[in-house]
Amino acid sequence: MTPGGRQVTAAWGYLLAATALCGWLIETHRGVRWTAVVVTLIASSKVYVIANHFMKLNTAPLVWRAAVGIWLLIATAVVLPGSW
Amino acid sequence: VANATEAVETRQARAIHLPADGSMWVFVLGDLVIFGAYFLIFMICRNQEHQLFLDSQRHLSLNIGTANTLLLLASSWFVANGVHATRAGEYRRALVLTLWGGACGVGFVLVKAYEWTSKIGAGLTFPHNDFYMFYYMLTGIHLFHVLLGLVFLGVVVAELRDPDKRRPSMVETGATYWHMVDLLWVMIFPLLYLVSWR
Repeated sequence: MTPGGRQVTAAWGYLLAATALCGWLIETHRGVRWTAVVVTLIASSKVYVIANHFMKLNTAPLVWRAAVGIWLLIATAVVLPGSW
Repeated sequence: VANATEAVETRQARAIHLPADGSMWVFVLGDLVIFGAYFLIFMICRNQEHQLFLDSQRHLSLNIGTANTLLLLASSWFVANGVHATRAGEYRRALVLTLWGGACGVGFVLVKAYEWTSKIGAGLTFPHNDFYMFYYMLTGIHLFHVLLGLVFLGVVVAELRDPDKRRPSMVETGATYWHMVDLLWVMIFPLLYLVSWR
């Protein structure tokens, strides 16, 4: 496997682990306020990983990285207070 | 040859360049902004009808939502590796990986169709309440994006099959759109299925 392929697989492993963690948190701590916050933060981290390692935004010029980064911050800011 | 390919790919990975066509990134950003607005409206309505949203959310299956997430993540893995195979000139491998990516996308559509059918059968339709209005609207618009993504992947497959038409930029552009579909689902999934509190 090429270095790029290994990076993609490592990112994929993180995404699977994060999905499993969210599922476990909801199954065991459903309805708890901090669970909603943690699940939202994990979802944001998954978006960051997809953007950087699948879409290869980490090699893109600064303006594109900033645009997607700002969107992610705003989207998280929109969902997070509602979670809390 | 393998070491040379690795060295080339490492240099490519380090070089600053915008993967895919610039106009695709403009489209992706536009779509992200529109979905961001949907998320904002959803959260406002959710705070106004907190208990209704909480009760309605319990009728959604966490297992089905997780299955859909895993299908899209697997699909993205195949498509992302297809891009690397294309860059390395391994077009046959890229073709197979893209086909597997599309197959997972079809799996997502089938699971979503099953979920909608069971919900409609149980009387939980679009006008049932505000939560289900958002549920069908968000998942419906996302499903439309998945179907459009499958068309994109079909174009990529057609190009990879024909040695005269192969364009790495087209493979990257199709992959960028497909990953956006995955990225949006990663936000929609917790919003509809997971995030709940009393």
